Amino acid sequence: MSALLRVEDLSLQFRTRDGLVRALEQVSLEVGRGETVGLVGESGSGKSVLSYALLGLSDAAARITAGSASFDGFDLLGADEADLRNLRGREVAMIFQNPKVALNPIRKVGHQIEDVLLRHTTTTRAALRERAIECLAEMRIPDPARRYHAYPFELSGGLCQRVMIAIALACNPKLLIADEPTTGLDVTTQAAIMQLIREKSRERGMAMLLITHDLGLAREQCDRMVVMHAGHVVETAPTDTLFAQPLHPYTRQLIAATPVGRASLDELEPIRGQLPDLRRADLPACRFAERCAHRTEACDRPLPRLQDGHHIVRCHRPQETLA
Amino acid sequence: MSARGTGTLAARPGNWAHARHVLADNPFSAVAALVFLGFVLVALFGPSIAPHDPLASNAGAALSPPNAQYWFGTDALGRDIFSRVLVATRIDLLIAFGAVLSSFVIGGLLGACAGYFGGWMDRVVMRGCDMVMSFPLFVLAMGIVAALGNSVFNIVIATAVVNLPFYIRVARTEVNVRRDAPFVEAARLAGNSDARILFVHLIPNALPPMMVQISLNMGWAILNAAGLSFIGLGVSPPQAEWGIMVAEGAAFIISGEWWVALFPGAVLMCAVFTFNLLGDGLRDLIDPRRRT
Amino acid sequence: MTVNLLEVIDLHKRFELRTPQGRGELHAVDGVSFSIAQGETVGLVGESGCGKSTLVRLITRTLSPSEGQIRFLGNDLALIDPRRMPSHKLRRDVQMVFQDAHESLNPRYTAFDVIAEPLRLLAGVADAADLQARVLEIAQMCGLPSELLVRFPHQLSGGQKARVGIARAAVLRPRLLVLDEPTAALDVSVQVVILRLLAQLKSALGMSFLFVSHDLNVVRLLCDRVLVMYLGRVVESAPAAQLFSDPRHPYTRALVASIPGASAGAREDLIAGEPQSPIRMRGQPADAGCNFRSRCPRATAACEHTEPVLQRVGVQRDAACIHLPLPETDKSPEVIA
Repeated sequence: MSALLRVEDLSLQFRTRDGLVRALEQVSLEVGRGETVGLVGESGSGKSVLSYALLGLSDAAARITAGSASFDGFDLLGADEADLRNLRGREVAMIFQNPKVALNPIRKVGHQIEDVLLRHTTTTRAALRERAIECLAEMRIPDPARRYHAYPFELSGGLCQRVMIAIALACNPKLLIADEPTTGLDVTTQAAIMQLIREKSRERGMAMLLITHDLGLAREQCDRMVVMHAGHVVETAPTDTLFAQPLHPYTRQLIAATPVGRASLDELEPIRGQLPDLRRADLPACRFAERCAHRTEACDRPLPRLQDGHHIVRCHRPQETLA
Repeated sequence: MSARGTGTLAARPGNWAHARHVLADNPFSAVAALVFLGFVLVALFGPSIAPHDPLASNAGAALSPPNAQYWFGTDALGRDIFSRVLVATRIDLLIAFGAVLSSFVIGGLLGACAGYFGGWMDRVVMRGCDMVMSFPLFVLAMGIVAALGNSVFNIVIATAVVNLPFYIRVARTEVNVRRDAPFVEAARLAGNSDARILFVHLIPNALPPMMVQISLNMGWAILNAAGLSFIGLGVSPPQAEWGIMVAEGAAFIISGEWWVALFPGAVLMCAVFTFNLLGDGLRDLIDPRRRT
Repeated sequence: MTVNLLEVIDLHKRFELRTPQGRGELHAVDGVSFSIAQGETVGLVGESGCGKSTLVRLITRTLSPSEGQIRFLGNDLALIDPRRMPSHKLRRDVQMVFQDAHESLNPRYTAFDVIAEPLRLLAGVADAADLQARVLEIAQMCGLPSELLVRFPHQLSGGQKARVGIARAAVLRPRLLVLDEPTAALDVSVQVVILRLLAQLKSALGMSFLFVSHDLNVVRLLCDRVLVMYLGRVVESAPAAQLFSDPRHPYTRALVASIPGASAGAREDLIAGEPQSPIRMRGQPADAGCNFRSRCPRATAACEHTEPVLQRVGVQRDAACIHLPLPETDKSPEVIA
C-alpha cells in the first residue's frame, strides 16, 4: 500500500541576516494511511519547520534546496498556492500548540468552524450553523449551542484545543498534523484531548503525524516514531522496537534523559553538549558527532542509511554503541 | 565546602564599542549622527565663526542675492543671511533640546509613577493629560506664550507642556505592562524597595520606546517654535531664528527674492530630517537586545 | 523530633472580583495547612486554577493572606507588611526560582549584576572584591563559567539562564527555596542537569525546598513528600513514592492515570470536563459539598452536602474524601526507642 505522505531527502535552508541556516538536511519520512507517526526531538530539531514546509507555510526566507514531498501522489513542493489552499483544511489539517493564540481572537469560535465548512464542503449556508454546532458536540464540548457564540478568550485552554480540533476535522481530512497539541495544557486535559484525537482518528481512518518533545506521550500514542536531531532524521522505527532497541546514540540518550518510569534522579542521564549552530558552513556530516561519546574518525564521512525491516538508522556505529 | 570563587571576570564589552557597532550597522544613522554633530558644533561655535555680524544692518546691501561676500544673500535690512542662519542654530537647538528634555524627564517621571502606583495618582495624572490633550496643540502653545510673554524661555515652556501628555502616556503604559513581570517580582525578592524597582528596574526598561520619540519630538519642537515665531509669538526681532527668518522672507518670495526664505527654510528642514533619522539609531544604542 | 522550618496554618486568600454577573469573591487559597521540615523537599502539584501560584506568593510574601498564619523561624510571616518585606531580615531566608528564567531576569542586567543584587541589597556587601568573590563562588557551584557572567540574558541559552536564576536565589543561602516549575521551559536534556544541580545545591547549602510543578514525573524524583491541590484546597498529602504507586484521592488518581505512559492508574480514573468556577457570587449560598464532585468518577449523593476534610488515611498520609476508609487501629508493632 503506498504511503499517504512521503518525504524524501528533503533539505531546507533559511536565509537570514546572520547567514544561511541549514534547518533541514536529507529528511525522509513516511506516513501510511490510518497510521499514527510520532515526530520527536528537542527544540531546534526542525520538527515544526518540516511540518510547515510540507504545507507550504514556511517563512518567506525559507528555501527548499533538495528532495521531494508528496501527499497521496500529489507533489507538495511544486504545487502552486491555489492547489495548496485546496489541500489545507480538506485533505490535510493541522492543529497547533497554544490553542488560545492559534485561534482568531476576534471571531466567535462557531464562525471559525463555519469558515472551514464554507471553504471546503458543499454545506449550504442555511445548514452551516447546525453543522458547526454538530462539530462542537462531536468534540464533546459541553453546551455546544452556547459555546458556538463564544470567543477564544472566554474558553479555557482545553476547550480551545477542542475547538481547534473541531475545525481541523470538520472536513474529514486524511491526514492530521498535530504540532505539540497538548503542550501547555493541564495533564488531565492532555489525557482527555489525546483520547479524543485517538478516538476520532480511529473512527475516520485518519492518519496522524504527532509532533512532540514528550517521549512518553509519543510512546503511548504512536505506531511508529521518527527521531530528529538538529535538522536530521536520525532514527525511524515502530514504537516498541525503538524503545526496546534504540540504535542511534541520540535516541538512547533521549530515552535515558526522560523521567518517566524512573525510580531515582540518579537513573537519569543528561545529554552532553549543545545543538550545533546550524549557520556554520563547516557542519560535520553527522550533526550529533560533536556530542557523541562514541565518535571516531569514521564519523566524518557522509552518513549511511542502514535499514533492517522497518527500523532505519543513520549512524556509522549503531551496532557497536550497543555495548 | 568549596573555596571562595577564584578566577577573574572578563571585561564588559565597552559602550563605545557598542556605539561604533550600531553606527556601522546602519549607515543612515551614521550619516544622521554626523550631520547632527555638525548642527551641534554650529550651535556651539556659530557666533564665533559667522563671517558677518548677524545683527548688523547695512541698508546699502539690502536684498542682495547670494554672492561671494554674502553666501546666502542678505535680507531686507541688509543683514547677512548665512550668519543669521548659523547663529539661529543655537537658539533653535536650545529650544528643541530644552523643551523635549523637560517633557521627557517630567513626563516620564509622572507617567512612570502613575503606571506603577496606580490608584488616585494615576487618575489625577491621566485627567491632567486629558485636559492638555483636549486643546489643539499649537493653539495651546500660542495661548501659553501669549500669557507668559514673548521669550525663548516661554517658548520652551509652552512646547514642553504641550508635549507632556505624550511622554506621560508612553511611560505609564511601558511601566504598567512590566509592573507585574516576573523580573520585577524577582527584584522584590532580591530586596528592592518600590523606589528602586521604579528607578533601577522599570524605568530603564521603559526607555527604548521613548527614545525614538525623543528625536521625532525634537524635529516637531523646532517646527513648533518656528511656527510660533512665524506668527509673531516667541522670538522677537532682531533675534535670529529660523522661523522668524522664514516669516520675514515669505513676503519677498513673490517679488522674486527667493533666498530670504529659502535658506533658513532649507536648513530647518534638514535639521528636522536629521532628528527623525536619528531616532532609530538612538533606540538601537539604548536597547541591550541589540548587543551581540 | 524534627523542628518544622515552615508551618502554614489555615491559610486563606480571597480576591474581590467584579464580573458581568455582579460582585463575587475568588477563594484562591481556601484553608491550606501544611509544614516543611528542615532539609525536606515538599512537592506541590495541581493544575491551572488550583491556587498553587497564589500559595507560593503568599509564602514568599509578595501577596498578603486574608487569614491564617505562616510560621517561619519563629515569626509569623503573615503579619509582615509586604511593602516592608524587601528590607525585612527574613527576606533573605525565603527565596524563589521562577518558572521562566528569561522572564525573571532584567534584560538590562548582566548575569553578574543579577546574582550580585541580593548580595548588595540584603547582605550589605559593599566591597567590590568581596562581591566578585562571592558571585564567582555561587556561579561555580551552579556550573556557570565566569566568562558567561558578563553576558546579558538574551545572549544566554535556556539552561544557562536557568542557572543564573538559581544562583541568584541561592547566593544568600536561604533556609527555604521555593521553586516554581523551574524546568517547565527547558528541554528534556537540560532538565536532567538542572534537577541534578538542584539536588546537589540542596545538600551543599542545607536548604529546604518547596517544589511546585505540574510535571508529576519530576516531582516524584525530587521530592520527599507531595501535596496535591485542587481549587484552593489540599486534597491529598503523602510520601512521594506512595502517592504515585497508591494514590487515594480520586483527583490524585486521575492525575496519576493521566501521565502519558504511566503504569500506575487505570482508564476509569481519568476525568473529563473543567473545574467548577472558584468564584462565589455575592448573594449565593456557600457551597456545602466537595468541590471536586462535578468531575469525580466516584461521586455520590453524600458528596453534595458534606465537605471533606483532610484526615489521616495511612502512615503519613492525609486525604480529603468522604469515601476513603480510615486506617484501622494500628496493628503494626510499636518501635520502642
